Amino acid sequence: MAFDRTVPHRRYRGVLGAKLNNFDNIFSCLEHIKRAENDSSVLDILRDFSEKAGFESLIVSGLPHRGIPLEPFVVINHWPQEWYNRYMSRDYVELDPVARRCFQTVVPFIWREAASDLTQHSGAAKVMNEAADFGLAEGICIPVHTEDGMQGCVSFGGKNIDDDPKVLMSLHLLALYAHGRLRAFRRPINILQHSTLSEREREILRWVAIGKTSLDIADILSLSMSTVNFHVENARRKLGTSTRSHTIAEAVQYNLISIH
Amino acid sequence: MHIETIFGTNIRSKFQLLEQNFRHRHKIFVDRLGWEDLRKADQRDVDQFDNADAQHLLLVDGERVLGGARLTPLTNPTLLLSTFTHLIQMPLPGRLEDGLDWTRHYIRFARRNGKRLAPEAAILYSGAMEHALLTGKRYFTFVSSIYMIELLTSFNWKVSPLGAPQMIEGSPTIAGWIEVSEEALFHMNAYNGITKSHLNPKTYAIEEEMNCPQYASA
Repeated sequence: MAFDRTVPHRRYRGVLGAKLNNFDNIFSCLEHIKRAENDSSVLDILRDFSEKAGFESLIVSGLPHRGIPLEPFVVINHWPQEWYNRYMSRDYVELDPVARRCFQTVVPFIWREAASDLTQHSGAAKVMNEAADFGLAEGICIPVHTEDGMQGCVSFGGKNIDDDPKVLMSLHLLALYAHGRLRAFRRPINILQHSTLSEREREILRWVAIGKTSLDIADILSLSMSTVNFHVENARRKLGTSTRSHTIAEAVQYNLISIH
Repeated sequence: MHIETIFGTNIRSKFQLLEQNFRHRHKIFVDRLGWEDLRKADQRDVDQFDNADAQHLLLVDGERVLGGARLTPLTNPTLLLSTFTHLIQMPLPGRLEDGLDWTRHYIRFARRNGKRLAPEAAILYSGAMEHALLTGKRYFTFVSSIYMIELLTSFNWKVSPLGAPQMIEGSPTIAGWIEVSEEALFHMNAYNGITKSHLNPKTYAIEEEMNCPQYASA
Protein backbone atom coordinates (compact mmCIF):
# COMPACT_ATOMS: atom_id res chain seq x y z
CA MET A 1 0.00 0.00 0.00
CA ALA A 2 2.37 2.58 1.14
CA PHE A 3 1.31 4.29 4.27
CA ASP A 4 4.16 6.62 3.72
CA ARG A 5 6.95 6.66 1.26
CA THR A 6 7.83 10.27 1.75
CA VAL A 7 11.40 9.64 2.89
CA PRO A 8 13.77 10.14 -0.01
CA HIS A 9 16.14 7.25 0.10
CA ARG A 10 19.53 6.74 -1.40
CA ARG A 11 20.94 3.31 -1.99
CA TYR A 12 22.40 1.64 1.02
CA ARG A 13 26.08 2.42 0.97
CA GLY A 14 29.14 1.01 2.64
CA VAL A 15 27.23 -1.76 4.23
CA LEU A 16 28.23 -4.05 7.05
CA GLY A 17 26.94 -7.55 6.89
CA ALA A 18 27.90 -9.57 9.96
CA LYS A 19 27.53 -13.30 10.03
CA LEU A 20 23.90 -13.18 9.09
CA ASN A 21 23.44 -15.46 6.18
CA ASN A 22 19.70 -15.48 5.78
CA PHE A 23 16.57 -13.60 6.65
CA ASP A 24 15.12 -16.41 8.80
CA ASN A 25 17.06 -15.16 11.81
CA ILE A 26 15.46 -11.77 11.51
CA PHE A 27 11.97 -13.22 11.03
CA SER A 28 12.24 -15.29 14.14
CA CYS A 29 13.73 -12.38 16.05
CA LEU A 30 10.85 -10.09 15.01
CA GLU A 31 8.37 -12.75 16.06
CA HIS A 32 9.94 -12.94 19.51
CA ILE A 33 9.98 -9.17 19.85
CA LYS A 34 6.32 -9.08 18.84
CA ARG A 35 5.51 -11.40 21.72
CA ALA A 36 7.79 -9.74 24.27
CA GLU A 37 5.95 -8.35 27.26
CA ASN A 38 8.46 -5.84 28.59
CA ASP A 39 11.56 -3.94 27.53
CA SER A 40 14.01 -6.24 29.28
CA SER A 41 12.72 -9.16 27.16
CA VAL A 42 13.33 -7.08 24.06
CA LEU A 43 16.85 -6.39 25.29
CA ASP A 44 17.47 -10.12 25.84
CA ILE A 45 16.20 -10.94 22.35
CA LEU A 46 18.26 -8.22 20.69
CA ARG A 47 21.39 -9.12 22.66
CA ASP A 48 21.04 -12.78 21.81
CA PHE A 49 20.49 -11.91 18.16
CA SER A 50 23.38 -9.48 17.97
CA GLU A 51 25.81 -11.92 19.62
CA LYS A 52 24.84 -14.68 17.20
CA ALA A 53 25.28 -12.21 14.36
CA GLY A 54 28.81 -11.47 15.50
CA PHE A 55 28.22 -8.10 17.11
CA GLU A 56 29.78 -7.34 20.47
CA SER A 57 27.94 -4.33 21.77
CA LEU A 58 24.52 -2.81 21.44
CA ILE A 59 22.70 0.32 22.54
CA VAL A 60 19.20 1.67 21.92
CA SER A 61 18.83 5.28 22.90
CA GLY A 62 16.99 8.49 22.26
CA LEU A 63 19.20 11.42 21.30
CA PRO A 64 18.36 14.71 23.01
CA HIS A 65 19.43 18.02 21.59
CA ARG A 66 22.76 19.49 22.64
CA GLY A 67 23.13 20.44 26.27
CA ILE A 68 20.67 17.85 27.60
CA PRO A 69 22.17 14.82 29.38
CA LEU A 70 21.90 11.58 27.41
CA GLU A 71 21.54 9.04 30.18
CA PRO A 72 17.77 9.34 30.84
CA PHE A 73 17.23 8.67 27.12
CA VAL A 74 19.10 5.37 27.05
CA VAL A 75 16.51 2.65 26.55
CA ILE A 76 18.68 -0.44 26.61
CA ASN A 77 22.42 -0.72 26.92
CA HIS A 78 24.83 -3.54 26.29
CA TRP A 79 28.06 -1.56 26.12
CA PRO A 80 31.21 -2.34 28.12
CA GLN A 81 30.38 -0.81 31.52
CA GLU A 82 33.57 1.20 31.77
CA TRP A 83 33.02 2.80 28.38
CA TYR A 84 29.38 3.52 29.18
CA ASN A 85 30.35 5.30 32.41
CA ARG A 86 33.06 7.29 30.68
CA TYR A 87 30.77 8.27 27.78
CA MET A 88 28.02 9.44 30.12
CA SER A 89 30.17 11.24 32.66
CA ARG A 90 32.05 13.14 29.98
CA ASP A 91 28.99 13.97 27.84
CA TYR A 92 30.63 12.34 24.82
CA VAL A 93 27.32 12.40 23.00
CA GLU A 94 28.04 16.08 22.29
CA LEU A 95 31.16 15.13 20.34
CA ASP A 96 30.42 11.63 19.08
CA PRO A 97 30.18 11.84 15.27
CA VAL A 98 28.01 8.71 15.20
CA ALA A 99 25.41 10.35 17.44
CA ARG A 100 25.65 13.65 15.56
CA ARG A 101 25.07 11.97 12.22
CA CYS A 102 21.77 10.49 13.41
CA PHE A 103 20.33 14.00 13.26
CA GLN A 104 21.17 14.29 9.58
CA THR A 105 20.08 11.02 8.01
CA VAL A 106 17.46 8.27 8.14
CA VAL A 107 19.78 5.80 6.41
CA PRO A 108 21.88 3.29 8.38
CA PHE A 109 25.60 3.99 8.26
CA ILE A 110 28.83 2.46 9.44
CA TRP A 111 30.57 4.26 12.25
CA ARG A 112 33.66 5.07 10.26
CA GLU A 113 31.61 6.93 7.64
CA ALA A 114 30.49 9.27 10.40
CA ALA A 115 34.05 9.69 11.61
CA SER A 116 35.08 10.89 8.17
CA ASP A 117 32.24 13.46 8.28
CA LEU A 118 33.79 15.32 11.13
CA THR A 119 37.53 15.04 10.89
CA GLN A 120 37.75 18.76 11.45
CA HIS A 121 36.59 18.34 15.03
CA SER A 122 39.36 17.05 17.24
CA GLY A 123 36.81 15.99 19.86
CA ALA A 124 35.12 13.67 17.39
CA ALA A 125 38.35 11.86 16.61
CA LYS A 126 39.11 11.62 20.31
CA VAL A 127 35.78 9.89 21.05
CA MET A 128 36.22 7.49 18.14
CA ASN A 129 39.74 6.62 19.23
CA GLU A 130 38.79 6.07 22.84
CA ALA A 131 35.82 3.93 21.77
CA ALA A 132 38.23 1.78 19.79
CA ASP A 133 40.37 1.36 22.91
CA PHE A 134 37.30 -0.06 24.66
CA GLY A 135 36.68 -2.49 21.81
CA LEU A 136 34.14 -0.38 19.94
CA ALA A 137 36.18 0.28 16.82
CA GLU A 138 33.65 -0.67 14.19
CA GLY A 139 29.93 -0.91 14.03
CA ILE A 140 26.75 0.14 12.40
CA CYS A 141 24.26 2.74 13.52
CA ILE A 142 20.62 2.84 12.55
CA PRO A 143 19.03 6.26 13.09
CA VAL A 144 15.38 6.34 14.14
CA HIS A 145 13.17 9.36 13.67
CA THR A 146 9.78 9.21 15.32
CA GLU A 147 6.59 11.00 14.34
CA ASP A 148 6.80 13.26 17.40
CA GLY A 149 10.07 14.70 16.14
CA MET A 150 12.43 12.80 18.45
CA GLN A 151 15.70 11.31 17.25
CA GLY A 152 17.03 7.99 18.41
CA CYS A 153 19.30 5.21 17.30
CA VAL A 154 20.01 1.52 17.48
CA SER A 155 23.73 0.94 17.28
CA PHE A 156 25.54 -2.39 16.94
CA GLY A 157 29.30 -2.68 17.49
CA GLY A 158 31.48 -5.43 16.10
CA LYS A 159 34.64 -6.24 14.18
CA ASN A 160 35.37 -7.92 10.87
CA ILE A 161 31.95 -7.54 9.43
CA ASP A 162 31.29 -8.24 5.73
CA ASP A 163 29.31 -6.09 3.35
CA ASP A 164 25.83 -7.19 2.30
CA PRO A 165 23.08 -4.69 1.42
CA LYS A 166 20.25 -7.16 1.95
CA VAL A 167 21.41 -7.95 5.43
CA LEU A 168 21.66 -4.30 6.27
CA MET A 169 18.11 -3.71 5.13
CA SER A 170 16.98 -6.56 7.38
CA LEU A 171 18.95 -5.12 10.27
CA HIS A 172 17.32 -1.76 9.57
CA LEU A 173 13.89 -3.38 9.76
CA LEU A 174 14.80 -5.15 12.99
CA ALA A 175 16.03 -1.91 14.56
CA LEU A 176 12.85 -0.01 13.62
CA TYR A 177 10.65 -2.84 14.83
CA ALA A 178 12.44 -3.14 18.17
CA HIS A 179 12.51 0.62 18.67
CA GLY A 180 8.75 0.93 18.10
CA ARG A 181 8.05 -1.95 20.45
CA LEU A 182 10.25 -0.42 23.15
CA ARG A 183 8.50 2.90 22.66
CA ALA A 184 5.13 1.21 23.15
CA PHE A 185 6.26 -0.04 26.56
CA ARG A 186 7.23 3.49 27.51
CA ARG A 187 4.17 5.33 26.26
CA PRO A 188 2.67 7.38 29.06
CA ILE A 189 -0.71 5.70 29.09
CA ASN A 190 -0.62 2.05 29.88
CA ILE A 191 -3.78 0.04 30.35
CA LEU A 192 -1.99 -2.71 32.27
CA GLN A 193 -0.96 -0.20 34.89
CA HIS A 194 -4.42 1.35 34.98
CA SER A 195 -5.96 -1.84 36.18
CA THR A 196 -3.65 -1.97 39.17
CA LEU A 197 -5.00 1.11 40.97
CA SER A 198 -5.91 -0.07 44.46
CA GLU A 199 -9.32 0.50 46.05
CA ARG A 200 -7.74 2.96 48.50
CA GLU A 201 -6.05 4.88 45.67
CA ARG A 202 -9.31 5.12 43.77
CA GLU A 203 -11.16 6.24 46.87
CA ILE A 204 -8.65 9.01 47.53
CA LEU A 205 -8.55 10.09 43.88
CA ARG A 206 -12.33 10.48 43.97
CA TRP A 207 -11.99 12.93 46.85
CA VAL A 208 -9.17 14.78 45.10
CA ALA A 209 -11.30 15.01 41.97
CA ILE A 210 -14.07 16.85 43.76
CA GLY A 211 -11.61 19.40 45.09
CA LYS A 212 -10.64 18.10 48.53
CA THR A 213 -7.14 18.81 49.77
CA SER A 214 -4.91 16.17 51.31
CA LEU A 215 -5.72 17.59 54.74
CA ASP A 216 -9.49 17.37 54.09
CA ILE A 217 -9.14 13.79 52.89
CA ALA A 218 -7.01 12.84 55.85
CA ASP A 219 -9.79 14.11 58.13
CA ILE A 220 -12.56 12.39 56.21
CA LEU A 221 -10.84 9.00 56.07
CA SER A 222 -9.05 9.21 59.43
CA LEU A 223 -5.65 8.85 57.82
CA SER A 224 -2.50 10.89 58.17
CA MET A 225 -1.87 13.47 55.49
CA SER A 226 1.34 11.74 54.47
CA THR A 227 -0.58 8.50 53.91
CA VAL A 228 -3.00 10.36 51.65
CA ASN A 229 -0.11 11.90 49.73
CA PHE A 230 1.57 8.51 49.51
CA HIS A 231 -1.50 7.00 47.81
CA VAL A 232 -1.89 9.94 45.43
CA GLU A 233 1.78 9.69 44.51
CA ASN A 234 1.45 5.94 43.87
CA ALA A 235 -1.54 6.54 41.60
CA ARG A 236 0.35 9.29 39.78
CA ARG A 237 3.28 6.96 39.20
CA LYS A 238 1.04 4.12 37.98
CA LEU A 239 -0.70 6.41 35.50
CA GLY A 240 2.57 7.93 34.33
CA THR A 241 1.26 11.44 34.88
CA SER A 242 3.20 14.47 36.01
CA THR A 243 0.77 16.42 38.17
CA ARG A 244 -2.12 15.76 40.52
CA SER A 245 -4.63 17.32 38.14
CA HIS A 246 -3.27 15.29 35.22
CA THR A 247 -3.64 12.14 37.32
CA ILE A 248 -7.28 12.95 37.99
CA ALA A 249 -7.86 13.72 34.31
CA GLU A 250 -6.44 10.36 33.27
CA ALA A 251 -8.30 8.45 35.93
CA VAL A 252 -11.59 10.05 34.94
CA GLN A 253 -11.01 9.68 31.23
CA TYR A 254 -10.42 5.95 31.49
CA ASN A 255 -13.21 5.33 33.98
CA LEU A 256 -10.83 4.30 36.73
CA ILE A 257 -12.78 6.47 39.08
CA SER A 258 -16.33 7.67 38.75
CA ILE A 259 -17.62 10.93 40.14
CA HIS A 260 -21.29 11.32 40.92
CA MET B 1 -14.82 15.27 12.52
CA HIS B 2 -15.91 11.74 11.75
CA ILE B 3 -15.26 8.85 9.38
CA GLU B 4 -17.58 8.01 6.51
CA THR B 5 -17.31 4.47 5.25
CA ILE B 6 -18.15 4.06 1.60
CA PHE B 7 -19.11 0.64 0.31
CA GLY B 8 -20.43 -0.23 -3.12
CA THR B 9 -23.97 -0.03 -1.73
CA ASN B 10 -23.94 3.52 -0.38
CA ILE B 11 -21.67 4.98 -3.02
CA ARG B 12 -24.40 7.08 -4.61
CA SER B 13 -25.14 9.17 -1.52
CA LYS B 14 -21.45 9.75 -0.80
CA PHE B 15 -20.37 10.37 -4.36
CA GLN B 16 -19.01 13.89 -3.74
CA LEU B 17 -16.82 12.70 -0.87
CA LEU B 18 -15.42 9.88 -2.97
CA GLU B 19 -14.61 12.28 -5.80
CA GLN B 20 -12.73 14.55 -3.38
CA ASN B 21 -10.87 11.48 -2.14
CA PHE B 22 -9.72 10.53 -5.65
CA ARG B 23 -8.45 14.07 -6.24
CA HIS B 24 -6.63 14.24 -2.91
CA ARG B 25 -5.04 10.88 -3.62
CA HIS B 26 -3.72 12.16 -6.92
CA LYS B 27 -2.31 15.27 -5.24
CA ILE B 28 -0.64 13.28 -2.49
CA PHE B 29 0.57 10.11 -4.17
CA VAL B 30 1.44 11.54 -7.60
CA ASP B 31 2.17 15.24 -7.12
CA ARG B 32 3.77 15.03 -3.70
CA LEU B 33 5.20 11.52 -3.39
CA GLY B 34 6.02 11.20 -7.07
CA TRP B 35 4.32 7.91 -7.95
CA GLU B 36 4.38 8.82 -11.63
CA ASP B 37 2.85 5.51 -12.72
CA LEU B 38 -0.41 6.68 -11.21
CA ARG B 39 -0.52 10.04 -13.01
CA LYS B 40 -3.84 10.68 -14.75
CA ALA B 41 -4.87 13.46 -17.12
CA ASP B 42 -8.01 14.18 -15.10
CA GLN B 43 -6.04 14.45 -11.85
CA ARG B 44 -8.05 11.65 -10.23
CA ASP B 45 -6.23 8.66 -8.78
CA VAL B 46 -8.58 5.81 -9.64
CA ASP B 47 -7.46 2.28 -10.46
CA GLN B 48 -8.97 -1.17 -10.99
CA PHE B 49 -9.10 -1.78 -7.21
CA ASP B 50 -11.47 1.15 -6.68
CA ASN B 51 -14.35 -1.13 -7.61
CA ALA B 52 -17.67 -1.93 -5.97
CA ASP B 53 -15.98 -4.18 -3.41
CA ALA B 54 -13.55 -1.53 -2.16
CA GLN B 55 -14.29 0.01 1.23
CA HIS B 56 -13.18 3.63 1.55
CA LEU B 57 -12.74 5.11 5.00
CA LEU B 58 -12.84 8.88 4.63
CA LEU B 59 -12.01 11.21 7.48
CA VAL B 60 -14.46 14.07 7.05
CA ASP B 61 -14.80 17.49 8.66
CA GLY B 62 -18.04 19.06 7.49
CA GLU B 63 -17.94 18.59 3.73
CA ARG B 64 -14.16 18.35 3.53
CA VAL B 65 -12.23 15.11 3.24
CA LEU B 66 -9.11 15.31 5.45
CA GLY B 67 -7.74 11.84 4.83
CA GLY B 68 -8.59 8.40 3.64
CA ALA B 69 -7.77 4.74 3.41
CA ARG B 70 -8.88 2.04 1.00
CA LEU B 71 -9.59 -1.46 2.29
CA THR B 72 -10.10 -4.20 -0.26
CA PRO B 73 -11.15 -7.81 0.44
CA LEU B 74 -8.37 -10.32 -0.18
CA THR B 75 -10.86 -12.64 -1.83
CA ASN B 76 -10.81 -10.31 -4.86
CA PRO B 77 -7.77 -9.18 -6.82
CA THR B 78 -5.78 -6.78 -4.60
CA LEU B 79 -2.76 -4.58 -4.99
CA LEU B 80 -0.83 -6.89 -2.65
CA LEU B 81 -1.61 -10.13 -4.45
CA SER B 82 -1.32 -8.78 -7.99
CA THR B 83 1.43 -6.15 -7.92
CA PHE B 84 3.57 -6.90 -4.87
CA THR B 85 3.74 -10.70 -4.87
CA HIS B 86 7.54 -10.53 -5.01
CA LEU B 87 7.47 -9.07 -1.48
CA ILE B 88 5.69 -12.14 -0.10
CA GLN B 89 7.68 -15.17 1.00
CA MET B 90 5.52 -16.34 3.86
CA PRO B 91 1.93 -17.57 4.08
CA LEU B 92 -0.87 -15.18 5.03
CA PRO B 93 -1.92 -15.57 8.66
CA GLY B 94 -5.38 -16.89 7.91
CA ARG B 95 -8.15 -17.37 5.39
CA LEU B 96 -8.41 -14.82 2.60
CA GLU B 97 -11.98 -13.95 3.63
CA ASP B 98 -10.67 -12.82 7.04
CA GLY B 99 -8.29 -10.23 5.63
CA LEU B 100 -8.40 -6.71 4.19
CA ASP B 101 -5.65 -5.17 2.08
CA TRP B 102 -4.96 -1.65 3.43
CA THR B 103 -3.91 0.74 0.65
CA ARG B 104 -3.84 4.43 -0.30
CA HIS B 105 -3.69 5.65 3.28
CA TYR B 106 -3.18 9.39 3.56
CA ILE B 107 -3.81 12.41 5.73
CA ARG B 108 -4.10 15.78 4.02
CA PHE B 109 -3.26 17.97 6.94
CA ALA B 110 -0.79 16.38 9.28
CA ARG B 111 -1.19 19.03 11.93
CA ARG B 112 1.51 18.38 14.48
CA ASN B 113 1.53 19.52 18.04
CA GLY B 114 5.21 18.72 18.38
CA LYS B 115 4.62 15.83 20.75
CA ARG B 116 2.56 13.18 19.11
CA LEU B 117 1.10 11.97 15.89
CA ALA B 118 -1.48 14.29 14.36
CA PRO B 119 -4.83 13.52 15.94
CA GLU B 120 -6.37 13.06 12.49
CA ALA B 121 -3.93 10.27 11.65
CA ALA B 122 -4.60 8.46 14.91
CA ILE B 123 -8.36 8.76 14.38
CA LEU B 124 -8.04 7.20 10.93
CA TYR B 125 -5.92 4.29 12.25
CA SER B 126 -8.37 3.78 15.06
CA GLY B 127 -11.29 3.89 12.62
CA ALA B 128 -9.72 1.31 10.34
CA MET B 129 -9.11 -1.04 13.26
CA GLU B 130 -12.66 -0.58 14.54
CA HIS B 131 -14.07 -1.06 11.03
CA ALA B 132 -12.24 -4.38 10.76
CA LEU B 133 -13.56 -5.50 14.15
CA LEU B 134 -17.13 -4.50 13.26
CA THR B 135 -17.01 -6.31 9.93
CA GLY B 136 -15.52 -9.47 11.43
CA LYS B 137 -12.05 -9.27 9.90
CA ARG B 138 -8.98 -10.70 11.61
CA TYR B 139 -6.05 -9.11 9.84
CA PHE B 140 -4.89 -6.36 7.50
CA THR B 141 -2.24 -6.75 4.85
CA PHE B 142 -0.18 -3.79 3.70
CA VAL B 143 2.84 -2.72 1.68
CA SER B 144 4.78 0.23 3.03
CA SER B 145 8.13 1.77 3.65
CA ILE B 146 9.86 0.03 6.55
CA TYR B 147 9.84 3.37 8.40
CA MET B 148 6.13 2.85 8.97
CA ILE B 149 6.88 -0.27 11.01
CA GLU B 150 8.35 1.78 13.86
CA LEU B 151 5.16 3.81 14.15
CA LEU B 152 2.81 0.84 14.02
CA THR B 153 4.72 -1.17 16.61
CA SER B 154 4.94 1.91 18.86
CA PHE B 155 1.14 1.75 19.17
CA ASN B 156 1.46 -1.79 20.45
CA TRP B 157 0.02 -3.09 17.20
CA LYS B 158 1.08 -6.63 16.36
CA VAL B 159 2.82 -6.38 13.00
CA SER B 160 4.49 -9.23 11.10
CA PRO B 161 6.45 -9.19 7.87
CA LEU B 162 5.33 -11.33 4.94
CA GLY B 163 8.81 -11.28 3.45
CA ALA B 164 12.19 -9.63 3.45
CA PRO B 165 12.27 -5.91 2.71
CA GLN B 166 13.28 -4.86 -0.80
CA MET B 167 14.24 -1.59 -2.44
CA ILE B 168 11.38 -0.22 -4.52
CA GLU B 169 11.88 3.14 -6.21
CA GLY B 170 14.68 3.97 -3.81
CA SER B 171 12.72 3.17 -0.66
CA PRO B 172 13.10 0.06 1.54
CA THR B 173 9.68 -1.52 1.23
CA ILE B 174 7.99 -4.37 3.02
CA ALA B 175 4.78 -6.38 2.82
CA GLY B 176 3.28 -7.33 6.14
CA TRP B 177 0.16 -8.02 8.12
CA ILE B 178 -1.42 -6.43 11.19
CA GLU B 179 -3.45 -8.38 13.70
CA VAL B 180 -6.99 -7.06 14.18
CA SER B 181 -7.89 -7.02 17.86
CA GLU B 182 -9.78 -5.11 20.54
CA GLU B 183 -6.45 -4.65 22.25
CA ALA B 184 -4.99 -2.90 19.20
CA LEU B 185 -8.01 -0.58 19.06
CA PHE B 186 -7.78 0.13 22.76
CA HIS B 187 -4.07 0.98 22.60
CA MET B 188 -4.46 3.29 19.61
CA ASN B 189 -7.25 5.12 21.44
CA ALA B 190 -5.57 5.18 24.84
CA TYR B 191 -2.21 6.44 23.55
CA ASN B 192 -3.87 9.17 21.53
CA GLY B 193 -6.61 10.27 23.89
CA ILE B 194 -9.40 9.07 21.58
CA THR B 195 -12.43 8.56 23.77
CA LYS B 196 -15.13 7.67 21.27
CA SER B 197 -15.75 5.99 17.97
CA HIS B 198 -15.55 8.25 14.91
CA LEU B 199 -17.29 5.82 12.57
CA ASN B 200 -20.76 6.70 11.33
CA PRO B 201 -23.07 4.39 13.30
CA LYS B 202 -25.71 4.39 10.58
CA THR B 203 -23.30 2.74 8.20
CA TYR B 204 -22.88 -0.22 10.51
CA ALA B 205 -26.54 -0.46 11.48
CA ILE B 206 -25.83 -0.46 15.17
CA GLU B 207 -26.43 2.37 17.55
CA GLU B 208 -25.56 1.88 21.20
CA GLU B 209 -22.51 -0.26 20.75
CA MET B 210 -20.67 2.39 18.80
CA ASN B 211 -19.77 4.36 21.88
CA CYS B 212 -18.05 1.60 23.75
CA PRO B 213 -18.50 2.33 27.47
CA GLN B 214 -14.85 1.74 28.30
CA TYR B 215 -13.78 4.61 26.06
CA ALA B 216 -16.42 7.09 27.14
CA SER B 217 -15.59 9.89 29.51
CA ALA B 218 -17.17 9.76 32.92
